[in-house]
Amino acid sequence: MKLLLIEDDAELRERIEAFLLAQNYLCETASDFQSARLKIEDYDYDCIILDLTLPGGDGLQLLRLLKEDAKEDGVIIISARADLDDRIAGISLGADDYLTKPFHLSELAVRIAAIIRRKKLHGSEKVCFEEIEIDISAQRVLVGETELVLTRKEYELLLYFLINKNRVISKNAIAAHLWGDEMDIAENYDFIYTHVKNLRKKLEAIGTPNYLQSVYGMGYKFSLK
Amino acid sequence: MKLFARYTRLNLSAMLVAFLLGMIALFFSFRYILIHQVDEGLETERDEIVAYIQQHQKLPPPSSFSDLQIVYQEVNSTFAASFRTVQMVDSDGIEPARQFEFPITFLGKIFQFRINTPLEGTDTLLRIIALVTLGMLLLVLLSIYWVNHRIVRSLLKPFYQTTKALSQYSLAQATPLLLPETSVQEFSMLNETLNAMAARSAKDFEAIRSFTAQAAHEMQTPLAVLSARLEALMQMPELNEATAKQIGGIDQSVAKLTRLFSALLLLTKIENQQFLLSDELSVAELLENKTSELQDLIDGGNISLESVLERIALQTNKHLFEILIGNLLSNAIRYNYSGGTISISLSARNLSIANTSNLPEIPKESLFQQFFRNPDSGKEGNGLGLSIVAQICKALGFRIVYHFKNGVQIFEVWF
Repeated sequence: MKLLLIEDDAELRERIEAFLLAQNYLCETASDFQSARLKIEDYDYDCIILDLTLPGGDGLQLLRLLKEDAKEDGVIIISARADLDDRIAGISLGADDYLTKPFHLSELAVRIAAIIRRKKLHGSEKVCFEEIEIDISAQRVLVGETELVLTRKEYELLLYFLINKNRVISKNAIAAHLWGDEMDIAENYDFIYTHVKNLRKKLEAIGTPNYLQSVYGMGYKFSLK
Repeated sequence: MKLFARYTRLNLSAMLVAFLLGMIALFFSFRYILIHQVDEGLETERDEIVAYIQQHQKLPPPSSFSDLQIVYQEVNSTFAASFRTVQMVDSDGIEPARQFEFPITFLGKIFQFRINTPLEGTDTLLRIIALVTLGMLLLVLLSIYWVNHRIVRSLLKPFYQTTKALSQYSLAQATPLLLPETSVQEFSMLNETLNAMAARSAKDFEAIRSFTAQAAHEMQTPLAVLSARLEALMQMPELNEATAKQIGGIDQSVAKLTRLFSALLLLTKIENQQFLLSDELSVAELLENKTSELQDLIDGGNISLESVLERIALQTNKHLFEILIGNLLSNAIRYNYSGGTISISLSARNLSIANTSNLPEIPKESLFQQFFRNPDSGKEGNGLGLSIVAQICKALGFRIVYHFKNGVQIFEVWF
């Protein structure tokens, strides 16, 4: 999977790039409008991560170029411009998703994965970890041959963990993912704990090892021990 | 008291006094002239009597006509002729009359003559004159009042236009204060000064507002870097518990900052922008979606939810409306207690969200004040939720009403 990261802030660009490389993506970067345009015109990417405020031009202009060239690259906008108009303009120009800065990298991972899945319909619609297999299109979870029945929130939580496997996920990132705008009322994290506990019980009951580990003081990690 | 009313009161009372004094003077001078004329008539009558006596060498017979009465009697000594007004009895009762008393010496005897003539005609004339003058006075006063009223009102028109424009003007609105030039120099001066003042204030206000938005915006990228670095830090192997706890604490603060900035940006955005109110919303459905999204939190707080929702459609801005109900419901959950209730009722006219709470009534003046939090709440809201609610209601043309009754906090949004 080849990604293009267009972001003018050097530090943030390095952080995101390091994260995406660690997620086993091929990742190229561009730091301004001109270099981004050249890359977009010359290559195809599975997903472009696009900042809107760029030196030399507006990120939305790049979206127009993509549309004119009938390119099928997936695009996720990352912007500090939380403006609804920007969001609507971005989506109507063909962007697939919009993430407002600051965001959790684990959230970015989930969004990128979703875009790539959508773009590559012929590709795998399944997310797997050891014996656990999530069929995204059917929204079903199989453990070996057995179906694991989950509530909606538990399903979202498991998918989030699987895409961000082997990484420590903070409770804040989980709260933001599950409750979005209302995340601030989940502030005491009891709610997350409840869902994690239930999910863990169900996984245990079906006979999986304890992949879902608590990480003291920070959050959770889904991995082999 | 209005300027005009005050002016009129002073003006008319001064005029009234002057007119009344004038009327009194007029009355008396007319009366003097008329009586003088009557007296002259009486003197002519005397001359006629004297001529009669000289011609006929005898006294005239006492006569009594309705308009003239002549009587005489012999007296011992002579006296000076005099006029006076007396009450005379005649067929119609007692009426004032003018009496002329004068002596005539005839055949060595002194006679006291009295000629009476009733003043009825004179009185009538005086009364008519008084009435006419009074009528004129009223007419003049009324017309002065009316004319002044019209003139002053039209003169003050620019003033009223200015106050109206000022009362509708708000610094937060996009259109500048443009008071028109008028033909009256003073008002033009006032308008120019006000325009300049409003322009200055608007500039300052804009600077403060854009500073808030800009500051919050500028912090987004470093905050994103901070957040990304934290996530990377969390992946470090071999973190000991103390370090992990510190990192977790920083992560929470970053999350709090993130929420605060996004709330601030939202607030400045709502204040700055015009929103299209063209979305057709099924409000009941939106509320049901929202409450089901929040179901975990409602259940987790051991809160029971009651809702009576009329299926109404509302034309407004969907995005803002969702934030509005989200904020109100979040508050109803956050400031509730275990075992408490939330009641939602929706009708064509309003939406009411009520929740039980341990907190006291929110003071009116701090209700929608930014960064206000009840010191006893112990919860970590950012204190912008209700300001956002108030701003959204303003932007959507709704009215927000707050009540507190028997430990229940009630927020009503009137469409």
